[in-house]
Order: sequence, then structure tokens, then C-alpha cells
Amino acid sequence: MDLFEAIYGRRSIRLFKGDEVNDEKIIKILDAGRWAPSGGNIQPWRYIVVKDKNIIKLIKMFSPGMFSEPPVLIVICSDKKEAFERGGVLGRDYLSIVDCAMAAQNMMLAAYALGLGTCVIKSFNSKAIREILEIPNHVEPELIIALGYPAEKPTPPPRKPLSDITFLNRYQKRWEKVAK
Amino acid sequence: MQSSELRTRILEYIAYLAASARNSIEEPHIYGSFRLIDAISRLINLLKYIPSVKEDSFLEELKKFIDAKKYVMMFNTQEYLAFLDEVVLKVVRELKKQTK
Repeated sequence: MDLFEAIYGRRSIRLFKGDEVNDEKIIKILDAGRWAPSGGNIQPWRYIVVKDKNIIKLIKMFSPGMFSEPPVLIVICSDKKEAFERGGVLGRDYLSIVDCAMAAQNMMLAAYALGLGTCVIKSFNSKAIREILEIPNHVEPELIIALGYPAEKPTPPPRKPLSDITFLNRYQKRWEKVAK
Repeated sequence: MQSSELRTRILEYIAYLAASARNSIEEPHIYGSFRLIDAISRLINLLKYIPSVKEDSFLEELKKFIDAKKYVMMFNTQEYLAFLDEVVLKVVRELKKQTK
């Protein structure tokens, strides 16, 4: 699949079919995340793949931003201890989150290319997720990716025009080439 | 005494409310409104597990309406406000019927 087709075609999927996702596809998606850029090449990301229906159900209960039960969840965590040891305060408080976000985007595009739908979720209760998944204190759950075969085809949401968000050389100086 | 299935569903609902109460401190303000409106949908769903509650076409329609429109919150504030007004009006009209 062409990269731009994936970028423009991916939607947040909140309704999934019950069909199982095979492990090969999940592993391919995780590996796409592994190849995201990482500040200082620290790679503080840790992935917890959840396929157990009961655990998914439990996570959903404490995740107001999750609207159905997908067959797979990928919980992207950051190892704050490693991030701090190798990247200082910047690594712990900023780069580790950015790294996880970039890994998440790689994963969601890869999933789309494999015919799967995803939705990235931040609205979950960290303490509850930590308890459910037995995550140690130095590891922070940053994002959850709901993964499965889409049972809906959402219309694209509105996007701000490029001309509203792009400047040339100086902030607020419009770039004429960027069309409205 | 409620069934264990019902108890689980009630706990699920409480988990949603408790997590929302905690998360809304840091989340965008409008999410608080969204969680409340979503809670109505979840509450109506919960009623299905209470044996003494009969099927209620008004509540079922209200749930469908909420689930179909709630995500507009992310795209269009004006449309979201109109949707919230419509939910309130639907409930008022239903309650008014009972007073006649």
C-alpha cells in the first residue's frame, strides 16, 4: 500500500468485528512501532499485547475513551527509569511520551495497510490499568491502541486547512504557496 | 437480591463513572459533558439486565439517538450543543406526557 494512501485513508475505528487477528499481523504491527524515531535512541517504549477477553473487558471498564471491546489491545508504555537514566528529565518527561506517540502512529498506519482498524486511546485510568496489567511503578502506560477488523467506515473528520497552520520563515508569516 | 450478572454490570457502570470523575480533572472540559451524555446511553443499556424493568421504546430510541450523535462533540461544538439541547427536550417531552 502506498504510504499516502494509508495516511489519508486511516480513520479512528471505534466499532470492531469479533474476528480474531492473527499473531503474525500483530507482530508486524509491533515491529513497525519499533522502527519509529526515538529521542537519543533510548527506545523507552514497552508494549503489552492484550488478547484475553476478560482482561480487555476489565480495561474497558476503566477506560471512558474506549467504546467497544476490540479483539486486541496494544498498551504502549514507557520505561521512565530507563528514560531518565539515559535521557535525564527531558527524556523522562517529554521524549518518552513523544517516542510512544510516534511508535503508535507507525503501528496504526501499519495496521491500516494490513486491513485492520485502530483507535488510539488516552482516556483511561492509569492506576487501574497499572493494577490490571501488573505494571511496575517505573513504567507508565501512555497510550492504548484498540486493534481489530473494522465494523464501521467513519467519514473523514474536518481538518484545519494547511494555510491556517503553516508559516514560512517566521511565525504568522503566511506561505503563499500553501493554498486555502 | 440482584443476580451476579447484574452486580457485574453495575460495577462496570461505577467503574466508568469513577474513571471519568478522575480523568475529567485533566481532560478537556467538554469531555465532562461527553462522559455524562455517554453515561445516559450506558445507563439505558444497564437497565436491560434488571429483570423487573420492562422494554421501553422511548429509552431505546434515546440511546440510539445519543450513540449516533455523541461523537459530533469532537468535530463541531455548535452541532454538539444542538444535540445536547435535543436530548434535554426529548426527555422533557416524555416527562410532560406523564403529567397529563
